[in-house]
Formats: sequence, structure tokens, C-alpha cells
Amino acid sequence: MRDFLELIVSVGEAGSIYSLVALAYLVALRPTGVFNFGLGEWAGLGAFVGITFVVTLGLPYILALFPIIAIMAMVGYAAERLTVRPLIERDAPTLTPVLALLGVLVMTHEAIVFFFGTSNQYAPSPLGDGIVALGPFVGATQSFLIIAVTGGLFLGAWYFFERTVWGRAFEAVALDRFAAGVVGINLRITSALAFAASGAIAGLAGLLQSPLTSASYLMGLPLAIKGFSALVVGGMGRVEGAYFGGILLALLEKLVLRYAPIPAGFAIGVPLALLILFLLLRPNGLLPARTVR
Amino acid sequence: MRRNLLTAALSVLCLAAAPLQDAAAQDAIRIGVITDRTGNAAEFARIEEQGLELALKEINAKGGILGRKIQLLYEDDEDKPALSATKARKLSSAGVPIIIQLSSSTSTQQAEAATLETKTPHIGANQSADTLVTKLDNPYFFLAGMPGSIQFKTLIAYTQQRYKTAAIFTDTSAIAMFIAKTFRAGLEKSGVKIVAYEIIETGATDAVPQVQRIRQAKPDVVIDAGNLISESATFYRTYRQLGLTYPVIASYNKSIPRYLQLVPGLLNGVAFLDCFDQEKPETKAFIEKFKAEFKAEPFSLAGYGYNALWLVKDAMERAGSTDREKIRAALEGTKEFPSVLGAKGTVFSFSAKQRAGFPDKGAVIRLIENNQHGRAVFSGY
Repeated sequence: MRDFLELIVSVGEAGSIYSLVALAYLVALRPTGVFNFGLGEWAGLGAFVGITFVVTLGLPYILALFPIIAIMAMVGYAAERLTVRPLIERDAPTLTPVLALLGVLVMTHEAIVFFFGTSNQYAPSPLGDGIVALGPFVGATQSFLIIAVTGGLFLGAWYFFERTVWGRAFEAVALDRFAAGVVGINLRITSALAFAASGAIAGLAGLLQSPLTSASYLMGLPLAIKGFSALVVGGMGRVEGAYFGGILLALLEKLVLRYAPIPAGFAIGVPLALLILFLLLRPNGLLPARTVR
Repeated sequence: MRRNLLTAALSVLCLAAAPLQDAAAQDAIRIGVITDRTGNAAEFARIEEQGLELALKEINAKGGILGRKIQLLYEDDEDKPALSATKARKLSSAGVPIIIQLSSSTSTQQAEAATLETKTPHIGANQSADTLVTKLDNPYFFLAGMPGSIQFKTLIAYTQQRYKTAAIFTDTSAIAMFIAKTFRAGLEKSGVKIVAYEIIETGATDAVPQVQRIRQAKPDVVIDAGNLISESATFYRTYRQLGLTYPVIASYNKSIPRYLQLVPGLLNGVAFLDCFDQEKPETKAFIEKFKAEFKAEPFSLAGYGYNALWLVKDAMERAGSTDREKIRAALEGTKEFPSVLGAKGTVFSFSAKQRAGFPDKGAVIRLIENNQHGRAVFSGY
């Protein structure tokens, strides 16, 4: 039983990180239809920017959060303004902005190497490196922080998209970009805000993960893959889908690695094989996107 | 007026001195260095170069080699094997009498083809692949790094003498998988039973499933064959978080202080392999000189650069010439060279049949104490 409870905390922590990256994908994808595979690098950048403010400049974590999130939002905004928007306005094929964003991925990666180097860097946890017990659940303080922050953020995102006019505007653009423009929704602002939010969420994912793993210039790619997998599994249209997709992916990973009676090398690939099987049964993921009502 | 005269006099002096300086620079012996400043291992290259620069300063302060100052001619192979041979050829064409290489084993293997072709003496300062002296019959190449075979023999002897069962932890990098596989084969052959074999996936945020399986297997000892820094940090966090207290024996990778900074305090008690014995007088003196020069504590990588340049000096002075063939012969004749590397009481030697000079019983097992690389507790096998 002790093992299982420890594993649940681990699933919550890893699943939350995957969910955050999936949400970052989703927020930019819905109004623009563009996949930004550079999000993993943005997560890595968020971790290093965090270390700069918290360790190098010595700002208290809570104060450092504002500039970190602002910088990451600006990175997202700049990517949209300089690559996505000009291409969409020129009626470029759907894949063209995706390719342009792959260029942004490479540039972000190289910028991380240039400014922060190839050495892993220690990232402190805002609550310290201790262990905490919440009832029968025991885990690192950072794990519980990740679970709590992610839960709060998803609740906020759900409220925004489901209950606010701006959220409805995002949804309308996602459903029919042309019609949304006709009824007066500002497509430029919607897309720019979506990418800014996407950058901020990705940066937050990296910031939250780094105390567990350290910050590394190589941390982006696994995050991009796991987040994208969570997005596809959850269904590419709903905030809740991104969350449950991440949790399901982490659950499969941890259960297989812990209990499957197969050699360790094979166990790593099994969760993804199971996900392929899952998608064959539910091609639209856990929670399919809404259609026009 | 006086000021003008002074300026004029200084100008004349400078003009007169310039050709002398040029002559001194032209007269200097240029040693070729292939390093990997811009690749994945750039952080480590800098430390090795510092060791090289310290040796350069000391040698030049003592009059250089054969009465001539020495200079280092650097080429960066970016840790890309495809570039390495080109860089070796470039240095050979520049007329260097010898090349010191500070990049990876795979890059060095490629450079070896070029040094064999151009008949340029070539020292692999820091590599560990035994194949560097077996794959290619290159009498111009000499390995000064700690060979993997010696590392494994030492680690396996240390484990086998103390424990009956072991769990192995590794990651998905090629080097880590190789280390884990070699460990497994060696330990099983020596009678140690492997009760768990766990791999942490790239990008994992924790290692809870793997550490739980180790806990369930109840090993006498855990062998850390990990190589990726983030994944190793994650493993140790989880290991301590789940309260495991089995002793841990780690490969040479844990001789890099970066781990101590990433998971402060969590590696205390870990035994790791190293080629640096702080009790050896030569090493002790090197550590003090390095600290005075760079205001930082050196670790074994710095010793590689330092060791290589002093090996060059020793060989060239015995050769009495900068002739490549004579230097090669002198290197081959290196006997009982007192290196900063290797356990206390061990020395470097090369021969025609033994082109890996690291002392056979020179690897040491050290403990991490108070979040620092501490004393050596075992050497040889």
C-alpha cells in the first residue's frame, strides 16, 4: 500500500507537468490551428530565467514569479508577432507557421546554450527540499506544490474558457476563425494573447520541474514529447482533456515501470505502445473537441 | 621637450624589441591541442585546458623544453568525430611536433587515423576507451586517460570484496547502458547476484517506480551506472526521499563536482571511482598550485591536461629534439613517470606493447563526505 500511495504522488507530479505543457500547446493551438513544438524549449527557458531571478539576482520566489512569467509571455508574444501572424495573414498553408516555429525552437535552444551554457544548474524549490506527508500521501514538497499549482491553473483556465466573454471569444475563433472575425472578434489580439499565455504556461512548467531535475539545456525535448502526447490522449479541444491526458500518461508510465514484469529497457516504451492502442480505440482522445452548437 | 625625447626613446626601444619578440615567438615550440570547447562537453574541456595552462606556465617558468619556450596551438573539434581528423591533419600541417587531445574517445579514434597517416605523435589525455590502443595499430598514439578496463576491474573488485547482491541503476544514454551492461557481466562473473536492474527514462521528473523496485529487491549495494546529469540528480532525490540507505557505488561519472551542486548533501556516503588520490604527494602539490592559480578546487579532469603536457616535456627532453620520430620513440620509452593521476605510489609507463600508460592499479575508490570528494578508501583490484 505504501508503494501505491507514493506512486500516486509521483503520478500527480509528473502528470501535472505533462498537463501544463499540453495546456500550453492547446491555448495556442485553438485560436490559430498551429502546433508549436518549440514549447519544450520555452519550458527549459522558463527554468533558466527562474534561476536567473531567484539564484543569480536573489529575488524572493514569489516576487520573481512576476518577471519570469512576464518574460515568458513576451517570448510567446514575439513568436506569434514575428512568425505566426505574418504567415497566417498571407494565407500561408497550415504547415508553414509550424515550420517557422520549429525555427524558433532551434533559436530558443541555441539562446539557452549561449546565455546559460551546457552545464546543468541547481534550481531551488520555493518550499525547500523537504519531504511532506499529507494524510497517507508522502512526497517531496515540490511534488505537492506542482500538483497544487497545476490544479489551480487548470481551474482558472477552465473558468476562463467556459465562463468569461474573452474565453468564449477564444472558443469562437477556434470553432470558426472567419466567422469570429466577421462578428467583430479581434483575431490579432486573440492570437497574440494565446501565444503569450502559451509561453507563460510552458515557462511555468519548466520552472516547476527544475527543482526536481535541475535545469538543463536538454530538458525541452522530453517535455515537448510528453506534453504533446498528453494533448493527443486528452483530446485536442478541451482544457479538461489536457489535464486528464497528462495524468493518464503519467499513470500508465508509472504503473508499467513499477509493476510490469518485463525488463526495464522495454518497460520505458510500453506506456507509449499502450497509448497508441488507446488512440486506436478512441481516435479523438479522452475528451473530443466541441463542435458548433 | 623632455617628454618628446622620452616618447622617441621609448618608440625606438619598442621597435628594437619587436623583432626580438617575434623571434622568441618563432623560436617557441608549438604543441598542438585538440579540444572540444563548443560541444556538449564544453564545460569539461575548459577545466582540462586549465590543467594544461598551469603546466604550460610552470614549464615555461623553468625555461621551457630544450631551452625553448612552448606555446599551445588549439583546435576545437566540437566533440564531433567527423571534425576531429581534419583538426589533427591541420595541426600536423602546421608542423607541431606532437598533438595532445582533450576530446571524447570517439573523436580521438577518428583523429588517430590522421596522426597515423601523418606520423605525428599523439597523446589522448583524458579518454577511457581501451579500443583507442587496440583498434588501430598506431605506434604514434599514446593513451594517458584511465582505461575503462581498469575502471571496471577496480569497481568490481571493490564491490565483490564487500557485497553479495547488487541492484544496478542506469539511464538511457549509450555510455550509461554500456557501463551498466559491463558492470552486470563483471559482477555476475565474480559471484555478485544482480537482484534489480533499473533504467530511468530521459526527462523523468522522479524515479519513484525504479527506486521502489530496488527497495523491494533488498540489495546489499546499489551500483550507480548513470551518466545523464539530470536523471542522476532525479534518482538521488528519489532515493533519499523514499528513505533508502543501501550503500551506493558509482562509476567515474560521479567524480564531476557538478552533481554535488545539483543535489547538495544527497550524495554523502556514495563511493565513486576516481583517478585522483588526494594523499599522493604529486596530486597534493598540483591541487595547491591549481588553487593558487585559478582560485578553484581542481578535480581529476584538470589533472589530465596537466599530466599530458608534462609527459610531452619528459619525452621531448629525452628525445633531445623536436623530431616527431624521436619524440615517438621517447614517449614509447616513458618509464615510471610520476604523474598527478593514479593512486599513491603508482607511476605512468609506456612501451611498444603497452600504449596505455595509466598505472594498472592506479584507479581509486573515494567517498563523498560532507558534500565533497573525500578520501580514497581503496585502490587497485
